Amino acid sequence: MKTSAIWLIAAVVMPAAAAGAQRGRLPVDDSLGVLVGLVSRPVWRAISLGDETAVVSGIAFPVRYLARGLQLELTGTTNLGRDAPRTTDQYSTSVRYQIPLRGGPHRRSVIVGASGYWTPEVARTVPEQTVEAIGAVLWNVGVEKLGIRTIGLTLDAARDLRRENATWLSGAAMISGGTTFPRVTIEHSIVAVLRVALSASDYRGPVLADTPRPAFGSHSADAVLEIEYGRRRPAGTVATRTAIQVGGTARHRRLGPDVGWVGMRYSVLFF
Amino acid sequence: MPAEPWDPIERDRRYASARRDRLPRVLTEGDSWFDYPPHPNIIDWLECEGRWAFKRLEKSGDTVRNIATEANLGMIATIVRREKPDCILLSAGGNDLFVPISERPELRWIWRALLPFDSGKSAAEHLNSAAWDEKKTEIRLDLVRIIAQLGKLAPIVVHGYDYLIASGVKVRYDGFRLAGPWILPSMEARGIIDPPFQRDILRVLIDEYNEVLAALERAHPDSFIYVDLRGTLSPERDWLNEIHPTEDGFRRVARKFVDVLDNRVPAVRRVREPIP
Repeated sequence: MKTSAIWLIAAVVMPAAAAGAQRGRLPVDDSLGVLVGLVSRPVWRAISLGDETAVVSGIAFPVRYLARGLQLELTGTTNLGRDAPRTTDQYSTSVRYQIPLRGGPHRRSVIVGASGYWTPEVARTVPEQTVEAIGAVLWNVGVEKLGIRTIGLTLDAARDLRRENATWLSGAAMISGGTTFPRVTIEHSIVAVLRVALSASDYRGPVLADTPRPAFGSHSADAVLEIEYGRRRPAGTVATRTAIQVGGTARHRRLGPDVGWVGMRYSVLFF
Repeated sequence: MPAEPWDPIERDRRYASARRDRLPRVLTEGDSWFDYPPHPNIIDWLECEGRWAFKRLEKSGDTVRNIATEANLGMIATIVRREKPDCILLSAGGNDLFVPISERPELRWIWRALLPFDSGKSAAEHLNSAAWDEKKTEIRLDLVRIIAQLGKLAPIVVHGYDYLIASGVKVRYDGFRLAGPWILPSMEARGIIDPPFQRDILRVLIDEYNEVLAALERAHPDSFIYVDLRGTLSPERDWLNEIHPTEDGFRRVARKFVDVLDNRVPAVRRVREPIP
């Protein structure tokens, strides 16, 4: 299984990289970024990590000296309610390699990589440690007649390589609208983003924790509405974003009851 | 989550990535021909080429008058001195014709540039020469100010738009925000209702604006490059509304800028003195 995953990644990366090499240099998402936030109920791929407020944090930094488009990401979810049942902190390290296929309008990219997870908590609802291969295809489309600039489409895939080779697949669509309020020295922007996703998997989930792995099938339907305020100085090299989020997940019964959550996030980008 | 292409932070992120790739740098400033939110515009298509790093400062709706303020030019000069772009692309002048006017709040300045319809007069004679000459002078002086402040730092490339159309179609921002129309109501308010005649008047306006830019190029050959876009767009196919091309229309215009960036900017840079 691990070998087939490697071949699959190679089959995607090699032709995509060759195609990209034939074009001009398309930009990659390789800025240094840091984020911190709070979420009322931490959820990872529709699996609850806790029932109370948690701190989310993360840092992403490019590793250009190894490869253009290579990015290392460290993320963490830390529950504030340490005594609550079904509480699982989670920390991950991800290596992602972006292959831009098309830049400018209607961008398209392929991302491949791997993530390692560590969940140091007593009442675990996900495995203590695991490693997975990840892949994603991102592409933007627009509807000129309706004045819709971008509908962002994403197809995400992840396959656990260490534990039981469980697979998760998700297709998402994102649409946003907003405006900018330019001043000479500072530019402000307000954006509303709506993201909906449908996922399928053969994850056991907390309800079926001691049973054989279920057949690949329905996992969850998710929706998130985010209102984001951005701030940058045109002559500067740092920008900030502050966002509030409202989300909900309708999930397969093996993952638990449906859940809603609210959160807020503050992030800093260094160009 | 990837941000919208028009998001200024997203644009800075792309610029930073392209700069790390050591692509030639270009600074852009101006109006919605460089910053049209509903669909890809000129600079979006140029970015698609993957050959330049674009530091983008443009804002939909901006005017030459606003761009030429001391504060704005000072900010641009700071960036130019730090980034050392090969050139500055500037799209400006169009919105100066559509600023609000106090005497007719429902119309725009272009109404002042028009005279009441007279079947005995030509298209050119329907322009209020006093008002139009004053506006051209204002725009020219603002451009001279821009050249004085920035021309010594990098050559400035300016286009004169293509022939506008009085279609009466509103501008739709991100699918829900509407603005305009501006040209057709002003013409109808002057009794100018014949579409071919409306087009003839707009041709005179655009031709005379392009003459202003051509004269500036002759006066400042080492720091001002004028790009003639007239005839690039098909009136039947390439206009989305009164003042903005379609996505394909912007792509056609972008091809002209590719030629400018490949040939005319390097030629001007070769004759300029090095920046101290």
